[in-house]
Amino acid sequence: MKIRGVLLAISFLVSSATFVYGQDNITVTGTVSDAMGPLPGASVVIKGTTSGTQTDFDGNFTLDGVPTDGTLVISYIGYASQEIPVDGQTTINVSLQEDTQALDEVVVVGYGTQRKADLTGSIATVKSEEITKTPTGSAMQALQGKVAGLQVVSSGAPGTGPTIRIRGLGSYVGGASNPLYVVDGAFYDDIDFLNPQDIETISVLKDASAAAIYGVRAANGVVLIETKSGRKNQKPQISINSYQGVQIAHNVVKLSNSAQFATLARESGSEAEAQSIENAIQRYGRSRINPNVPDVNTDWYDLILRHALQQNHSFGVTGGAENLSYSVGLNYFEQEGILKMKNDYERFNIRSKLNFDISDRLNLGVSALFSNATRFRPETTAFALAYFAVPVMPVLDPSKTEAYPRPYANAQDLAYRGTQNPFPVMENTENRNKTRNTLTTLDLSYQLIPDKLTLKTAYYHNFETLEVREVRLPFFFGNGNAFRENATLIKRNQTLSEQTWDNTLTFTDSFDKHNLTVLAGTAYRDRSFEQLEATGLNFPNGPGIGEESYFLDLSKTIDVEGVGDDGARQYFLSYFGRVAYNFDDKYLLYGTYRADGTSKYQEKWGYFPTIGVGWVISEESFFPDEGFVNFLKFRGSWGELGNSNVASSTGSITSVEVDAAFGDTRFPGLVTSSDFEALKWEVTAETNVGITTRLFDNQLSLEADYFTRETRDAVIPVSRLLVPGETRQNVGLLKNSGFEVVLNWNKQVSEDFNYSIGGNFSTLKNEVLDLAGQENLTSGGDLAQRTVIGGTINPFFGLEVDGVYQTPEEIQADPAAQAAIADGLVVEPGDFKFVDHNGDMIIDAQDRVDLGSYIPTYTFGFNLGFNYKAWDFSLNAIGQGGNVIANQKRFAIRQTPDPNIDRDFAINRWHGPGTSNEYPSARGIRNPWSNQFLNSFFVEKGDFVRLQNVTLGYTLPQLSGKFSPEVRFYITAERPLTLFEYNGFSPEVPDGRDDQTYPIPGVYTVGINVTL
Amino acid sequence: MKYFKMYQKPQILLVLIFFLVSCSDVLDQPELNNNFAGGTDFSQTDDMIFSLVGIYQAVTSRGWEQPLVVATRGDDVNAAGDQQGLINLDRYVYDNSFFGSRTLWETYYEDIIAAHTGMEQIGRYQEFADEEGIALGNQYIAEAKVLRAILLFQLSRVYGAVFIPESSDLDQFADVTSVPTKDEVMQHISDQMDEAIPLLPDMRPNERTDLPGGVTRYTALMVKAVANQELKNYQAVADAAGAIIASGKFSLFNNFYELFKTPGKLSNESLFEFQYSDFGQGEGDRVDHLYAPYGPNSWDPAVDGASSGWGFLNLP
Repeated sequence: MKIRGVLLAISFLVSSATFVYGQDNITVTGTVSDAMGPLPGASVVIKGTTSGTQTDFDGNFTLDGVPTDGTLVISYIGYASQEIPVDGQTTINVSLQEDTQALDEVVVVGYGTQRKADLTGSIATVKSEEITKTPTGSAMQALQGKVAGLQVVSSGAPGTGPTIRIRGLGSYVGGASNPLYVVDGAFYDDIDFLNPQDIETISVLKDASAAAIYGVRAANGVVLIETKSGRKNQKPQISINSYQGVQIAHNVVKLSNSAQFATLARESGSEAEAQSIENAIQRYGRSRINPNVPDVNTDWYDLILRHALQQNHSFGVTGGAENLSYSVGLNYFEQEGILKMKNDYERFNIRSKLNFDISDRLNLGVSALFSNATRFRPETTAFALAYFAVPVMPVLDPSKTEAYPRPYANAQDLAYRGTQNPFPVMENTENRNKTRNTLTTLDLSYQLIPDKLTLKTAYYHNFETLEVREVRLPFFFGNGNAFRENATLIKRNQTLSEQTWDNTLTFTDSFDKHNLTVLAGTAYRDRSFEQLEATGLNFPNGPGIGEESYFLDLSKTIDVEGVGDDGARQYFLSYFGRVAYNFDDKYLLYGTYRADGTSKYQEKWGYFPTIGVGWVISEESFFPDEGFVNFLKFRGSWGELGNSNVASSTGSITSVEVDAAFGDTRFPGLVTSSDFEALKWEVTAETNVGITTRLFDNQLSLEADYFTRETRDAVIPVSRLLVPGETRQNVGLLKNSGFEVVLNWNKQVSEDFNYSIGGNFSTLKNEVLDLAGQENLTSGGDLAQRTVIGGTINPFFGLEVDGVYQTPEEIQADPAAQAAIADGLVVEPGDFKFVDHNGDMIIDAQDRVDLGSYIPTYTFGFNLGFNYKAWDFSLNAIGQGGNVIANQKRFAIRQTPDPNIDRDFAINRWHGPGTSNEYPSARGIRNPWSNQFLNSFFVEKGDFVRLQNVTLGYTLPQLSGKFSPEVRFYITAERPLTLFEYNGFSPEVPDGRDDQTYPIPGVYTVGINVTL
Repeated sequence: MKYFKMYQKPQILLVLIFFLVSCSDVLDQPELNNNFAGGTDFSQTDDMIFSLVGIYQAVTSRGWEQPLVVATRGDDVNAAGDQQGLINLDRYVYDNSFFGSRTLWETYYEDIIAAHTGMEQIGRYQEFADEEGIALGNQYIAEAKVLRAILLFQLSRVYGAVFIPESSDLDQFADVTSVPTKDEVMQHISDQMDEAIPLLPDMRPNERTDLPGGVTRYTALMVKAVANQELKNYQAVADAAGAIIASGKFSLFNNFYELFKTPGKLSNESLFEFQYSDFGQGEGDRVDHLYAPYGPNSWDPAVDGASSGWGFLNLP
């Protein structure tokens, strides 16, 4: 690109001298700038001529021979061109606006950049303004609903990033479908440590053609993150961003109140449960409103939740001089958890990025990023405990003087089997994760042939330490055996050191109508991990004693079994190359090849080719220039990618240490495994076809893609012959396919008003094609999930409910119910009626069927924004559907003694003929006939639509004079409204098993941006 | 062509250095935190015993349900308590949903295979061992055969026809078309004992000093006797049992009450014991087994801190 600019500039300079102008020609001087300051290298051309110039390093230009009635065209790559009538002015200062849809825009493609118009693959780029609209500590959360084909499953717990899936689930192994994150060239498994304000762009490389340059790590897509950098000859720009907000849990599940619960208990058919209500009346008094109900009505969800604070403060300076550019930043982020215990997240980041021109040809870049985060992990079991805790008991019972450290109420006092109260666990547990992350990079590039051949070497070191401290303090309910006896302290320290050394040689040239970029490179990566942990019992604790005593040295006992360590060291070696060629901006050809070696698996080397082609039909001479189509490109790509996210394999039999007793003496021994795993990476072959078009004066843009991704050599568990257990083998075959479309309309109505409307929609079909001769893969225990050929990965698996028995006659007439009764089961009105799928008149495990998948079949996003004078407004909505969620809390009633249940059930339960054909009775839901297997009643639709983000901003008028900061105030509502049918806090459950899912709160913030 | 002139020697060198990232052997580094059996130094004959101890550990560490299943099905005791699966088993009703039936099959075979891997490891040591070492290895393998035979015997008593693994290679079962009958299994066990007997120490288990309570010739004779009893080959039973008696090494323990308590451990009556111990510590690390299922339920032991059992067994 640069070369062409330079050539263009030279030709302008030469040609301008040859033109002869009339008397009314003048000399115009001025400055071209953008939001960040002066813009060097912008082109200034007299409209209708080839006469023009370029701005210098300070953004200044001087142009002779300009007709007084002429027009200047000012343009710069990535910015909207402006036409300014001269009208006799001799000074013209222009401020260019970035053009987000410009096809001249350069996108990051990994080890380099590419013009957006030249892309043959599918890359979506999200810019800093979009990212920072979302008040979150994790930048990936901001992408929810903004990139077609990207599924973001939010996480409500502070400091934990969302689950990300690009174009479906390409691996059977849990967690192995995570994409690769590349932060300024360094590889990461997640980017939760980054401050979203520090990010310039996030590019999602979705298809093989785009991602394949990352070879063995690229199968699940690649997310490229570019942090902010300065620009040469840019005046220092100081920016301060701050917001303060509150998180509020929405859609809190309503639990049965005491009156409803008393009814459920009395209808349960269990005398003990009914008696417990009487016990509660005895102990806590009788309600004056309803004499059949105890005078206690505890709403446990209300009590364990709170409004929580969130704040973020960033300070950054960017700028540059003639030979260098810099960008430095500081950030503080704090998020409290909405669970009422210590579960907060705090992060302090400091960052710098510098770039020097050592000589005309030699450039040096250094950067350092330090992130210091403290996360207190929530005790998520509280959400399950609160769901089941009976409302007829208070949190504290002052009569429990023996209880410790507070007089916790105990459901056992009411003759319930469990203690039920979630507060002792919440109040006496503290899980702290301290993560410190540093990324230092150094790169050196040398132009072997100026502007043509560049050699670049870059070294990255990512060093991370994690200190885990888990403290469990004793508590006692004052009676029975329900207590936590020991004060337990677990300390676990981990260090991760990952070094990467990349070398690339890039050749760029243009001749005639041929434009060519060739890249060749090598990469070496060394990842080492160490862990040490120990457990201590009974350190000093009690009132007034705090973390000063949380040390193993102070513990009375060190638990020998609790001492352990672990380590890993993995090496990766790669050779890669890329050719990008375009002829006359019409015909595009793109190819990459990467050879990757890894120590992780037994088959060391993998080879990953890809090819992409594009045809910009709108550049053809036969294409009508004056039509409504401004740009139209057809593109297609194919490639193979590797997935090395699957855990490594030993490749050889191993022994474990054991002890045996002989005559009361311990003898050490070894047990050797009989088999072993020898894996290689999974290979994904992906085909993508798409179109990119811009219509109606470039105001409407449309991008549509269809893809199929087939994962072969997928790692699946294969049952061992004769003996229990499974070994992982590369024998599965999976497929994901889908359609994605992105539509955006941008309109500048007047100088004061512009608006944009956009949307994206994507579909996904996940299919298992081969399980290597195994009939199915079953997992999930009680909440069974079974994978079969032709279905999705891990759909829920159980009986299909066909209504509820209303009368004894109905049961009498049903042979399946009669068979169950003959077998000793109880079937009564209010119990489920099941579909006898195999028609053998017996309802058993053989009648179970696929009850749906947790992977949504479609997702969509919608955005709307406008600027009017000083006001700006934006709105995002998202949604998904086609997936199911297993309501594990409701289903767990089968193994949870005497629990409460949600209000939805209490209201809709069957309680007499004709009351419900959907919900069982209070007795039925506890009856083994109705809950012996997972069934369709407990598997609910996961569809939802959400108002994701609404932001309203106002920019103060700029002061005249030297000190003229740009000040913008804004308010944001994040996730204010979610519509769904599911009976849970949130329809966002990463694996579809909703047991202890942390609620995802709405966030309301007030913020200020100041730019100096 | 003109580009060539622009190259200078140092630059070419630079390029070469950068692209010659040494393709060293780092990719062959093994996964850390593993004891690779293949990487063992098999010339250390003294380490051979570790594999044998491993087999003892695999065979004696049994889940609480397994002795119950074996004993109930072998008709030594009757099922009691609320274990429907165990009660069915007593009535010869096979219930594949009873976890005890499943784990018995799975873990017995797992440990039989562990015995084979152990024997194969010992065989690797023998390749480097001197004559004395080879002889010791043969004794260890003979002990492993007896331990393996005990598991196979109990498994066949519960299930009748069962597979007979010949090595640790599980692929041998990929194309199996028939299952050996119970008689074939018992004959196999008897033959195995004939192979083992001459290689085993001629002493009582409690006379062994290297591994007190370990397998001896008389353990093998006992296994041979019970296998032949299943075959109704009573002469062989009498011969094997006679050989034990004729040795004159064994005598009944003087106190039957104490026989199954600590004082009865490794008595002169014992032909073989599954040994458990807390190593005299009374707490902490131990090699243990859960006895609660054997104990009668619903009574209050006089001993402080003791509790009643689960009551899953009755004597007939």
